[in-house]
Amino acid sequence: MILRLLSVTKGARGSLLAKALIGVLITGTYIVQAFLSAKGVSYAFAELNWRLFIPIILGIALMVLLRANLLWIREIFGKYAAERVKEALRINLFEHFFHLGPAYMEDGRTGKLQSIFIDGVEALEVFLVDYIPQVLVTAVGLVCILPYMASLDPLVGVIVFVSILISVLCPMFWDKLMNKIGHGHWESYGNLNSQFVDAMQGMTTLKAFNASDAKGNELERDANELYNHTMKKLNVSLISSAFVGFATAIGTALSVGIGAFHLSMGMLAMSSLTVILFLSTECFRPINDLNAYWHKSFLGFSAAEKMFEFLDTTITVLDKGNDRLVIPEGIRPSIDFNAVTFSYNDGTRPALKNLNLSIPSGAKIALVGQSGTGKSTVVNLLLRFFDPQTGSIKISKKEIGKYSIQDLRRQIAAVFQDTYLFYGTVEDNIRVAKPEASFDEIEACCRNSKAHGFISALPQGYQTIIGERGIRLSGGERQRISIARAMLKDAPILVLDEATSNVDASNESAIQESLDRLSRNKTTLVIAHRLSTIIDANEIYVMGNEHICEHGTAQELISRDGAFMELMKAQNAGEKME
Amino acid sequence: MKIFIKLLPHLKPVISSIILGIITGIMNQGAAIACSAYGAYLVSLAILGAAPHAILIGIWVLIALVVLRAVMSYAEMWYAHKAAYGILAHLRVKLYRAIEKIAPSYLMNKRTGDLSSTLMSDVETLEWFYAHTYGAAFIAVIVPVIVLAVIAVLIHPYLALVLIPWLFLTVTVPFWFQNRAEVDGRKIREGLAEVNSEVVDGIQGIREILSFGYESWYLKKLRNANKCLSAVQRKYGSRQGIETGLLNFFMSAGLLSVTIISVYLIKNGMMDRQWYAVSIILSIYVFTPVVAIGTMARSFGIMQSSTDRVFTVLEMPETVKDMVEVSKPLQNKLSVEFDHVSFRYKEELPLVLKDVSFRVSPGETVALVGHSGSGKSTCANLLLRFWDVTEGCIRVGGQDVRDLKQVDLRNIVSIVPQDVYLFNCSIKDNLLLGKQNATDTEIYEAARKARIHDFIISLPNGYDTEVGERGVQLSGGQRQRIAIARALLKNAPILLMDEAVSNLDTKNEGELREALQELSKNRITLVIAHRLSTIMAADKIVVLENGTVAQTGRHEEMILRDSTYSRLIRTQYAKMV
Ligand SMILES: Nc1ncnc2c1ncn2[C@@H]1O[C@H](COP(=O)(O)OP(=O)(O)OP(=O)(O)O)[C@@H](O)[C@H]1O
Ligand SMILES: Nc1ncnc2c1ncn2[C@@H]1O[C@H](COP(=O)(O)OP(=O)(O)OP(=O)(O)O)[C@@H](O)[C@H]1O
Ligand SMILES: [Mg+2]
Ligand SMILES: [Mg+2]
Repeated sequence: MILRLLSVTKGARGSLLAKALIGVLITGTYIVQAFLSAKGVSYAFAELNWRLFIPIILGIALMVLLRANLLWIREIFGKYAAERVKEALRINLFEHFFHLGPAYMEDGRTGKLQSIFIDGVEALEVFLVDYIPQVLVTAVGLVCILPYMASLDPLVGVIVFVSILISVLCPMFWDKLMNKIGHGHWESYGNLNSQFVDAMQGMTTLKAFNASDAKGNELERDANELYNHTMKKLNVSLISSAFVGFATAIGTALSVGIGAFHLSMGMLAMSSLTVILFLSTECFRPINDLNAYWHKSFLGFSAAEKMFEFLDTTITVLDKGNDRLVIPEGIRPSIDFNAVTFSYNDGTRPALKNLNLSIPSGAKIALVGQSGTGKSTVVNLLLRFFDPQTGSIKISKKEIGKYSIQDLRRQIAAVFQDTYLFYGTVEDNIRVAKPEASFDEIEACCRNSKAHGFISALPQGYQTIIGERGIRLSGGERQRISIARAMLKDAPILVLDEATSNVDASNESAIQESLDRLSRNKTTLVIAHRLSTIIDANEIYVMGNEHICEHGTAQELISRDGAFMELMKAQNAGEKME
Repeated sequence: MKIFIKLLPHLKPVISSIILGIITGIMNQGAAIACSAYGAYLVSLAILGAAPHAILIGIWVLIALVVLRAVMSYAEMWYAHKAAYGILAHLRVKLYRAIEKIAPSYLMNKRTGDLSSTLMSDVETLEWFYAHTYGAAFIAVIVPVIVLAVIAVLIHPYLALVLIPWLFLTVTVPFWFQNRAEVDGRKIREGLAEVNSEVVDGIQGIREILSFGYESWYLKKLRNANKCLSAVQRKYGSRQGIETGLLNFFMSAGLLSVTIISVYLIKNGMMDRQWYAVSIILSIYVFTPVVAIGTMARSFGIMQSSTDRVFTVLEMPETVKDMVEVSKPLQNKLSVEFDHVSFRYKEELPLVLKDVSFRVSPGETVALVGHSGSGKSTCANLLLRFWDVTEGCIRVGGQDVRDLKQVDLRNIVSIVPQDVYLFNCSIKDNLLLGKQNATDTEIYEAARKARIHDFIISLPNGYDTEVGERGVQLSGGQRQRIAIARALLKNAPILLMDEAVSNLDTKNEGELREALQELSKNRITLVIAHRLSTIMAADKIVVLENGTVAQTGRHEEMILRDSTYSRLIRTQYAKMV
């Protein structure tokens, strides 16, 4: 995992190296200062003379000034590297998420992803931009100091070497153990985040059912679980820190003590001992910093694990398309589903069985049928959010897998059954379909989708912020905006999945008229339960359980008196009941 | 300093850990300092010709000090973190409770990503305060005072005196740039919240992003948000760098002054030589706890703004308050009455409902119809008292809803909202929301009535099937039927159905309607619908137009005349009949 983390630093290695070099210089100033201080002590015991002390004092002062500036610059380089690394990482994660597509969200959770993408990436900063350069600094520092110490007094050299070995190796072994014990930590962090996002977004429902209190208790449990996991993981990391701390402290203390002992035995010169006194602290300074960074990285490590797990999720819908194969402009595509069988959840939830469907170019066809028969699934497959297990789907007589995914999706404008609007202004939301659209185009689309009226009545018109998911609009208003959005995209295939289910009948028929006008040279697929919406389609497909049970024009179907008629009757029964 | 006071009360439940943390912290620092000073002292003794065996004893003392220090440093960290994380868990729950009170109106202007970043990472940031600042501040005062006293008594008072100004300067460094730190800190937390919000939006809107080919634009947006954040983080880092430099400078300046003074003192015979090395070493270590707190204080800007963000939520006033201690008694037979109700969502927004009056008598089913955006769902929101009316009043069972406790009001109203929300748990748990202690039989019964039971048992895991976030693993109509089952399970005397069957096929809808008809006899049903079949089943129809009641009556009466109602549904009617 550590190696993989190293690969993440690509693009910022220059700054990291610079940071490490500055770190080496800082260590250098400490070492020079230590030598000067040692000299001072020696002089203190020999002869006290201002002439000798003044260079020492000036030297130390110089080191101090230099170091203050170096520390400042180092921080700047660090932030610069952090910026690069974090941005690259976030974009990487998101791109992978886009490749995974909606299929991932089947059992993925917003809060979990959010905590990986944001807090997880932030948490990695310490490791990537502090720890890694510090490893270099430590290595260089030790290579310089250690042999010198050994040359002064071999035993002291051995003591320092051994304690360094312990303090470097200990966390590594510990890491293995930590992985097991601290495993649940990030998991529960992400879990709490998810639970909270879920509770927040469903708060109205919770309150309506007087269930918000119970949810609060659930959340409290999750918060406590996070607490427990944190303490467990922390404990492991604290023990390792304490060990390393012990090793470095004992190293310093023993080398000074042994040095003093050797001096008293006459085995060591005084000037050497004073050097050991100050240098033994300097030996361990980089290691202590290293250890501190390690401790601070502990959140990052558990985040990294989840992060890599996410990046390793295999992409199920592969983009093997041929870029040169594009649907020609101006041609009305045809759509064919040929013996398509599809189940969700790795084949455990059958949704479509042996579905045959053919939409001639430029036709408007309707898909009706009972709830849960797989109508929306057809849309999901057409957009390649999922790939069917068997059978083939063709657009303009070519397998959709042959187009590049981007190009395929460019051909389809869809209004999904549940409208999603982004936080932002009305205009921004419509613009999603065509970022370079002129305002006139946007307004025209809104007129066509009967949204212009209410948008103009909003306090800031098209610039009104509509809140998360368009929460400040009514249900029908949201749907009309999403229809406007699809109209703006102006793609050759138009898919409307219950697009007007929350719009009143008179607005609906007005929208219908504009759609008919606009979709004259498009291939259109309409899914609706309100039969008035689809009655004038060229052809109506009625879906039974997982497959088509009949199709034809409304007239044909009515005269056949089959499944469609059953739906008709059910509707009319309600109306005639009085 | 504000933040000390704000965060202080939350320490109470963990005060013992805090105190233990401080005590062990002092011992940790003390041992560390003693260890170094004693080492230096040994060196001096050796130079001055002490016997080897005296030095050997000294080494054992050193080892003992090191062990003490290691144990104490572990204990300090353990207690400090135990206290800190305990508080964090506690604060998170408090935040949830606070949001619970101010929802949903507060949520209209907030983004989930923003709020969740407050709950998760803003709170997490406070760990710096509780674990690394609070106790450390005490230690940073106590330890140097002791060390200075020891220096003054044991070595020479001048040395202590010369250290004081530098120590003082070190402590003040974070205050020099405090304003800048606070401004940048706030920008960082806000920037992070912004990135969080964008990310949540991107995750939940993935279908739209992909189908509109909006990926690169979205990433650009994310990158921009990220850039803004990084720019401030860089500025913040640069300031921290200056402070690091200054901290180090003052600390080293202390060392330098001690060097000079010691030389002076020894030269003038006011200090023994063997103390020279000790005083140098002590002058380094006396700064350790002070620099530790100074280093933490470099992040005060962020701590401050995280605290502010947490407390903004905690201190937000409730929008809808319980006005009574005990609900006033309701009439036996419940009715619902809107009495000249006017309402606006916010002061600066126009009225959404204007002088709306209608009445639903016991046992009646009333359909609320009107153009999209005419205020139907708003009526439902008001009846549940998610907002309070601007003018007029709503009466349930003869009592103004404001004279009821919210809990009691919501106990007698059950709703199928226009936007169905299913939680990421099993179908059963979602249903249980309606009635926490429902038996399986009750659940099945409700599901049967909602025409969803057969589907549920056809699933491999039946009622234990997980539905995914917001119920993604179900079709639109299935979600709605689960929401209906949930409302039926609650079995409250007032049933509100806001477009409850908009995604349901006519066949299922017909069956559902029959089931509901049986149930509607002894309760009040208020349906909001566009679909003719649903509307026609009502006893009475209230037509809303632009926030006012345009018409009330029965379908047969109104359809014949040219009226708002007939215009509203003519198109649907014409096509189908
Ligand atoms: N993401 C999913 N994961 C697992 N199962 C799913 C998923 N989406 C849909 N299903 C199941 O697949 C079947 C078909 O669903 P689909 O959404 O296509 O129905 P639909 O015809 O659009 O119904 P409705 O009219 O209610 O919207 C349903 O039984 C549903 O439970
Ligand atoms: N939270 C809000 N803040 C501000 N304005 C709002 C808010 N919610 C709704 N509105 C506005 O109030 C008006 C009435 O909305 P409401 O949701 O009651 O309409 P509705 O009759 O239910 O429409 P639909 O049939 O489309 O659901 C709309 O114009 C809408 O834009
Ligand atoms: Mg569907
Ligand atoms: Mg509504």
